[in-house]
Amino acid sequence: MATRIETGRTHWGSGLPLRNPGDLEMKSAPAFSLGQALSRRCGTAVRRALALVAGPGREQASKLGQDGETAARTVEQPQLPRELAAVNAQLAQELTDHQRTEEALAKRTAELEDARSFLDSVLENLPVMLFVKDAKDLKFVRWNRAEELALGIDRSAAIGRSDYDFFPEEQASFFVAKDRAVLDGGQMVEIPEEAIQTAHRGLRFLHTFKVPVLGADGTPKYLVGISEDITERKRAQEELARAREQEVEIGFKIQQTLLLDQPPRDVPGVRVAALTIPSQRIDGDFYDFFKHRDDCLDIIVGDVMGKGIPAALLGAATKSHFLQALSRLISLAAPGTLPEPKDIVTLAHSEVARQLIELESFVTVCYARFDLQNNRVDFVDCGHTTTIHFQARTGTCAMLQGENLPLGVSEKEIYEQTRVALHTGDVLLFYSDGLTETRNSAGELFGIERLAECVRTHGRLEPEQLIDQIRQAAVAFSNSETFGDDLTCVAVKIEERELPLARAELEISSDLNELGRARAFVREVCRTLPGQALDEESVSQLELAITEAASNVMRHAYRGRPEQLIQLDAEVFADRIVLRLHHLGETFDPGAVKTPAFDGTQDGGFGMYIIEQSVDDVQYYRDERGRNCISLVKNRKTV
Amino acid sequence: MELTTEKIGDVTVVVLPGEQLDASNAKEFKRDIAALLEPRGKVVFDLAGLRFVDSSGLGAFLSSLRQLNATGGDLRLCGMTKPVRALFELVRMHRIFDIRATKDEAIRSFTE
Repeated sequence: MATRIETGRTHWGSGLPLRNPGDLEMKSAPAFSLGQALSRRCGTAVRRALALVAGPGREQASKLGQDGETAARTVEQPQLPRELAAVNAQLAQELTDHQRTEEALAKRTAELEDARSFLDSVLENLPVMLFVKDAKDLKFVRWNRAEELALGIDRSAAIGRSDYDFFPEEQASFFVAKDRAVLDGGQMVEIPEEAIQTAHRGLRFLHTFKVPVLGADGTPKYLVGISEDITERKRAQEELARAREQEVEIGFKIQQTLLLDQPPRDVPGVRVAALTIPSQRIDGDFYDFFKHRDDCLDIIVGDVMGKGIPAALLGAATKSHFLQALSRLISLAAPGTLPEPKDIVTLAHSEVARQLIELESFVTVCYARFDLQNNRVDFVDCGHTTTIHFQARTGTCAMLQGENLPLGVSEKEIYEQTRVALHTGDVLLFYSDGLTETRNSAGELFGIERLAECVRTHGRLEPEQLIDQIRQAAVAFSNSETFGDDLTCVAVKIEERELPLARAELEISSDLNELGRARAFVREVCRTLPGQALDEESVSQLELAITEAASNVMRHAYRGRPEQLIQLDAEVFADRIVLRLHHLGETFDPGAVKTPAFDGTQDGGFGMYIIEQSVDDVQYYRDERGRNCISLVKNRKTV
Repeated sequence: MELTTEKIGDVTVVVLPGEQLDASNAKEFKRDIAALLEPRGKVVFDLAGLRFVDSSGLGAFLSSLRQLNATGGDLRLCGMTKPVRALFELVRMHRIFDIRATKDEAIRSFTE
């Protein structure tokens, strides 16, 4: 845009057009601060130029004010000498250039301003926390809205300050150390988690990136920090972990209460021990025992396909269906007879097959009935692991396996049972595949052969000891105390069926006043002992033991309620007397009682100790009727 | 509980009724004996009639002993039957209590 000094209108770049020629104010737009200085220079130059021309016009020239315009106006256009014309032309050119420069500058400034606005807007509105620190003193130079909200610190309070002004020294030192590391390293650093104490929201956790910003010379000028508040996410993760832990705990409880029963203790002719080592993931192993009369014991061992709580629940449901089937068939059976195992399995299966198929799961089961009168076992094996039969006479192991499908595979399956003769000393070992499929570090399986070998070696031990040997072997093999799958096994040993020589029962209420009756019962049993009489001291000890045990049941298991029931029974054998107390009160944990002090400082808590010292064996267990049972055994001296 | 007492000199002799001191009556005994255990009292429990004592009865004896000792008094036990003696020995209380065979011995022991 050429500017010509002429009368009338004058424009300075994009400045305001003059409305009135007499109204010549050098108006410069705010950004164009150069305009005024230049116009002053121009004014001086023009004045000087005109002074050259002047002669008679001198007094007019002196009328010149600041602006050269006035001068141009009042002078009539004389014939300018050539030098003047040249100066004029040069001036005109300079003005033009200046104009252009100013316009370009204005444009660049406008663009810069736009860019800056844009950047500001972006940084302000980003949903991540952002700060910028000066590299030299690590003081904040920038602090966006998200940062304000997250930390509760306004930018006016932050800018110009450092971490030490806001955070506890330990935290601030951590931040500063990281900053220095970033600046020295010249690389972005990610801090997956840092704790930060906020004034208004407590302790928060941030996931932060710190980026060094280098100047043109390559030295760090700024440090940019971008953070995300991960406190909620962290909390959610912790809750998830807690929920998972809880699930494992629940599964374990289900297992202990619903899936795994206590083996029966008082079945003459058989001794049962069970082992279960739960894994981290609940496996769905279960077993159950049903004692019919005194000469018949049913054992069911099962394994649900799948893991975790669903498997555990299915296991519990399957057990329940077996129980239902059993009781239904027992009620239908002719008195004195028992339903066949295969019928029990068939009925239980019919109830549960549809559900299993729908849930796309199946259950392997082995249902075994031990007939202790006739020394045999009838079993229905439904896809379960091969049962190991240790034969005492030969010291070898036979493998017992049936042909039936697991439950939940085919609704139409017909279940068959197999009969095997048993002899005193024989052991049957039931187990889940968690045992045989345990791997060692080389990836080998424990396997059935190794298990059979273990049974062969230790088959003559008591079942509890055999089970423990198996456990030790599994632990040694896998080189670990924990296993991937639940490890379950049940050992059943056939013993001499010893029937008591005499038996007596008494039911008392849980009233302390009944203690005398309990003692009288014991005295009577001892008085009428077949065979060798028991010495006075032993009788007294039995009286003491029964009193303490019954008293514990009354005061603790039944919490002092006097109207509950306690069943006492006594069985006399040639070599011992067995006294039992059965109750439905709270289960007592003998391990929780400490040995008392005998220095006279305590006047209670001797009961347990007295019982243990008065008899030869004390056992606490749950009997097959679900009652809590305390059994006291006193050996008889055999002549 | 019916507690028969006899005062011989400055010694109080208490005869326990019934044949048993167990969880059914030990609390009652503790309650009723307390009044007879005077400060600095010299007390003898005559256990001749007692056929059976359990841990609760034992506890009652212990608390009587402590109550007397605390006020400068003392307790003797006498006339123990075999089963009762057996219990005391089982929990080593025969070292805590001063046990005499007869009532006279027990009374005399206070002047020794």
